[in-house]
Amino acid sequence: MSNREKIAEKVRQWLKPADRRRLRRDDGGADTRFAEGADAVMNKRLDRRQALKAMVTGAAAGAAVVQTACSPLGGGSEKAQLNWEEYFKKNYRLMTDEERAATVTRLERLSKLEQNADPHIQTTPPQKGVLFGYAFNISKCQGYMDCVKACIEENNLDRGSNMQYIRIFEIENGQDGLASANGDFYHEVPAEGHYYLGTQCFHCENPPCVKVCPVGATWKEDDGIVVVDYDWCIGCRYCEAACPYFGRRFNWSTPQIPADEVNQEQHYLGNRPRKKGVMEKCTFCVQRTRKGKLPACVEACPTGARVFGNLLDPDSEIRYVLANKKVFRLKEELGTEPKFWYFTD
Amino acid sequence: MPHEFFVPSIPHHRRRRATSLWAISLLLLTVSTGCVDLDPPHPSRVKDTIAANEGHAEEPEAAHLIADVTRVPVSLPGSVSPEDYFVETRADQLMHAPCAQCHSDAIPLENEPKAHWDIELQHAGSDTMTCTTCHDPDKHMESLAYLKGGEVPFDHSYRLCGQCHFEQLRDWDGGSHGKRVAAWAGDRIVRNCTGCHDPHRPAFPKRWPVHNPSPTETRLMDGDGHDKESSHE
Repeated sequence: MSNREKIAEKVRQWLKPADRRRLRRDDGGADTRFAEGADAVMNKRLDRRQALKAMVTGAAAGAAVVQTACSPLGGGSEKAQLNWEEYFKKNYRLMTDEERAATVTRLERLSKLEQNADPHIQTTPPQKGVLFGYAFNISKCQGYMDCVKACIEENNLDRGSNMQYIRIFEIENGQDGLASANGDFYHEVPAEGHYYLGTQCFHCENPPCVKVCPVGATWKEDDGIVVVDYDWCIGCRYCEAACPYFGRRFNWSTPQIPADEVNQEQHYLGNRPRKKGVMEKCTFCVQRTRKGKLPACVEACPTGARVFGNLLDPDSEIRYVLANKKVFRLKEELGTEPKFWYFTD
Repeated sequence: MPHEFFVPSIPHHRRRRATSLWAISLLLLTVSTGCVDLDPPHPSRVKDTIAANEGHAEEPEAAHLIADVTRVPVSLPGSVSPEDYFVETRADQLMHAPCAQCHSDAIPLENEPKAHWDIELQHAGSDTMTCTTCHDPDKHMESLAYLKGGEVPFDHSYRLCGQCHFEQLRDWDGGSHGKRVAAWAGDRIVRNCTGCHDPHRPAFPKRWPVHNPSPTETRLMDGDGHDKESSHE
């Protein structure tokens, strides 16, 4: 059953029996123009977004005229048209392959028109038989922060607010570590008598952030990566509140990235530049990992403290860690089941 | 046909009800369009997910990612390594090896070196290790030497290190020590010991972090009196 059919079925269940009967009768007919209720809404010809789009085509034309008149660079009408179409696109999960291709083409063109940039935005889907897992060696990390730097550059993080997905904590040996953890150190490392522990999004098996999202803008993909549709997010920050690990970040202002530092190899659900007012977070570098590469933080780590791989492959390094090392996860009692483990030598 | 787009053509006496139904559906849709799975997700444990799906991997093609990495198959004494398991080469990165680049004759063993002054050995104590613990220029001018005198090629220096650091060697072989190169998929290529550690001073040096921390949230645990502020009381 397709997602679209699933939703239609769900709506049907909420209807009164009489309405349900009428809908069922309509299902048989080939002409769906006269469908009601769920069918009327889900039907392509009476699609809410298309209907709205049709209603406002006139307004779009008006906006285009204004845009052209105001834009000193010209090309305003194409930009306005593309922005307009972007505004009426669907949630990424509901898009067909064609619709995904269309939005990527629009976004790439808009980058060209607005920033004179040439990004390549992938829509690479999850691979079958792949479930990503991560392990962090707290005996090895020295607090050098090479991972943080690599992450910022790879994922086009906002330089203006110094946004970082990774936090590295300095913890005194032998103390009740987690409570005294200091994420605000800046001195020569490693400091005597301390160890280091890094956090980021743990891509929980039971992600509370996904549960609370009121608009379905964030979800767990089949390879275990929890992603955000930045164009569907309404910025309510429920997910930020729900995450027990502070894995999510909010764009309080429009992200600032020097034009020559923008990573143009992007993924729709990954590092493509975000807008003001939306949530974002670590995606295990979805734009890299779905193509077989290691995440930027793993590649950058000079101490080998970071291990990444396929949990479904019994011969993978991550599985060796889980089978042979003493591992723990943070706040395990919550039942979030992070796919991010800590281990010691 | 008039109103083709918006109002379904239905008998007049049912139209009002249909309109309200349409409105309700629209409302529901507004709430739910984003949700593909409308049922709450069922909590599951990672280990159950792994057990249910293990072993049908369709890994991405990674050959092009590692094409440029010079490597040799890992070969550990007493075990058969998988065919797709490699280590980065070492010999081709050395400036002063083989010794024959400068020395035409074998060099007699001496514990006080007459050359290579720049190398300061900070590896174990000086009573444990000297130059000749790993180098034997008398017998092996193109390779390293085991403690018992045998030859070890530079590319396989992990075997030499593993004489003492057998736990690290075991974990390096398994994957919890060391560093995989370029790709998590495809052939497994790992760094040699010397890819991260200077063999003459293997400890990582103290240095400044390459980036400052983020000002956003600098505590690890919150609430329950475990946060920084309340612990200062």
